[in-house]
Amino acid sequence: MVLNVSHLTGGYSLIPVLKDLSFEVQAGELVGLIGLNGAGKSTTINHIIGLLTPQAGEIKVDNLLLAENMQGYRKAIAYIPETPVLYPELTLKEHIEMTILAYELDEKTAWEKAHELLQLFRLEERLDWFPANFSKGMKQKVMIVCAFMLDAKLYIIDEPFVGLDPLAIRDLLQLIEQKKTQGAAILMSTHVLSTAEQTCDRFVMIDQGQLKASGTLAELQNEYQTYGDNLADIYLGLTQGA
Amino acid sequence: MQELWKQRLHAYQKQVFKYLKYVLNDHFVLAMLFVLGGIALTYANFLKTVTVTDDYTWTKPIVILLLLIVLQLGRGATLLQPADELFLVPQEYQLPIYLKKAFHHALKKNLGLQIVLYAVLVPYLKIVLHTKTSFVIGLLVIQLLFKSLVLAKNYQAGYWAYLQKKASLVISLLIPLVVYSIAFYICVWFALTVTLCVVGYFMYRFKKERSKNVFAWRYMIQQENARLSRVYRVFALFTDVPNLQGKTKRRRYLDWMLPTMQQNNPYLYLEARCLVRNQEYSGLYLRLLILASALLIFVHDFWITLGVTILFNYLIVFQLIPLQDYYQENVFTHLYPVLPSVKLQGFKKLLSRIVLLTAVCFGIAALIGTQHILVGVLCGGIVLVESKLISSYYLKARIKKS
Repeated sequence: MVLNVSHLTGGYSLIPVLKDLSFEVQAGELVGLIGLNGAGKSTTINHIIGLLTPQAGEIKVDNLLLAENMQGYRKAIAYIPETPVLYPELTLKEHIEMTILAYELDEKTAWEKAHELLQLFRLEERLDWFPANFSKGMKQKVMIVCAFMLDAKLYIIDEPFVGLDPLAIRDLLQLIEQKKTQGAAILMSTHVLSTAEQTCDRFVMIDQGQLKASGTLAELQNEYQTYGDNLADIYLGLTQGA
Repeated sequence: MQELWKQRLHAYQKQVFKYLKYVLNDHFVLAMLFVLGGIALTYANFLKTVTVTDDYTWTKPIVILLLLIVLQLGRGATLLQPADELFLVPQEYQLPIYLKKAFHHALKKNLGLQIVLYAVLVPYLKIVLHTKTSFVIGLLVIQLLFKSLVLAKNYQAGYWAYLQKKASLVISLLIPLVVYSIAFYICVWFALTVTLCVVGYFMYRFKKERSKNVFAWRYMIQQENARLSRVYRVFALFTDVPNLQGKTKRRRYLDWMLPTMQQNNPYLYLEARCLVRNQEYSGLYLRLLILASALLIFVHDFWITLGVTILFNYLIVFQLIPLQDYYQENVFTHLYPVLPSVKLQGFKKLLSRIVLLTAVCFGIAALIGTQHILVGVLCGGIVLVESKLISSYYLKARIKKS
């Protein structure tokens, strides 16, 4: 299994936000991380990408612990943040070169991949521009290009559907599908439950830092019949106790 | 509104003092004393050599220029904040009270500064230009009146669109130039009369415009922001100033000097681009480099040359060190599978290149100034050694801290 979060307790300060959280993501699987604002999605993601250190429990990516193999762990992960994060001083081309340098990619094959992605998102003409001045949607596309040009084992995508145009959402979902068939694992956090319902293989639902439920849509529907059929009803039922 | 001014002034002063603590550290005060002492000594020695028969009347235009420059020093703070455009609008009718308070505060500070700087000029006026005491006093009054007018202009600009234009330089530059010329070449009392008329006229206009126009919030807030970033830029020479966000310029013509991918260090790649394109860093570096080089060219004294070299190289290196933390906020710099040692290496490489450039510039400038090849080489050497000392000592201390 590619991502294994076991008994994770943690947060920003001594008071833990996450309490004994466990779930996993297998290779070739897209898992939706579902939760309300403040439920602990971002904290979970920050723990997985290694910005925060667990207070208890452990996180393994590709069977590696961050503390034991920093470079291996980090190379296995590609991350797309919710709000695009760019270098104000670098052009689009230089963002791609920076990614190649930092992840020690092979320059030629990496650029081939990058060109494909740039073409897909109609960014090829803008290689010499500063993406920091792009619109939010276009900035997000730059983030997607920089993440998907990596050959990562685990992709972590934080709320991808807000700010992207419908065409870009379709293309992103296709990219995710491609990576899945190549054997990558994908963890995606989102509020757009209707899209998640159609695309994710499994769901991890958290509320107040704790795991509420997990499983495929069919499993969840089966288990929580009383709450309703679709993902939104099940999640609201679980968290509100309706 | 009076309360608001007091609160803001208090908060602002607190912030400025916080930074001043870093600016006025021991090394810097010592270096400053050294340089100022050197300049004062040269000035005093020059005054001693002047004899009664020497004719220095040709320096009058230089004195006029100096007076004009001194007149431009010091701006009035309005301490208006971006959110005021929204929150203070209902209180706009009370704003003149606030601005008046701000103006009086600025007046006290600035007239003091003018008097101190003018005092430096007095010996020159008396000994070299042989002017009478009455002339010295008359000229001082003119200078103070003009400074008050220039300050008032800053505060009234919100009500009078003309003052927001470049054309209003007439008030702070052209009219003073004419009046100073009258004072030096015709009669100081005539010049004073003209000044009083000008100030009187503008006071009347300010009042009239204020009564009929709406306050230009956006312009005034912009001005205050620009003033603040100038202040912070000075502090940034000595310490990290988080409030400072530099603009980015592409500067394609400098691409040839940037490290390429072949150098194989992501942080060298990144930080070099920041240094060249971020106006905050490139501007600071260039300003200091040019200023110091110019000083070195015009100074002929060996010890002052040495002092300037040491002081300015110190400022340059210290101003560059925060560059390595510039991207702290960017989450990706924490996610890259790159060892911290590689990061440090990249920064050191960049720093050494910059230091080399500084050494060459200072060395050549010192060579021109002192006409001594050894002094030039010595200055270049000092830059290299001093930078090495600062970076090895300071970077180590920083790593320990974090």
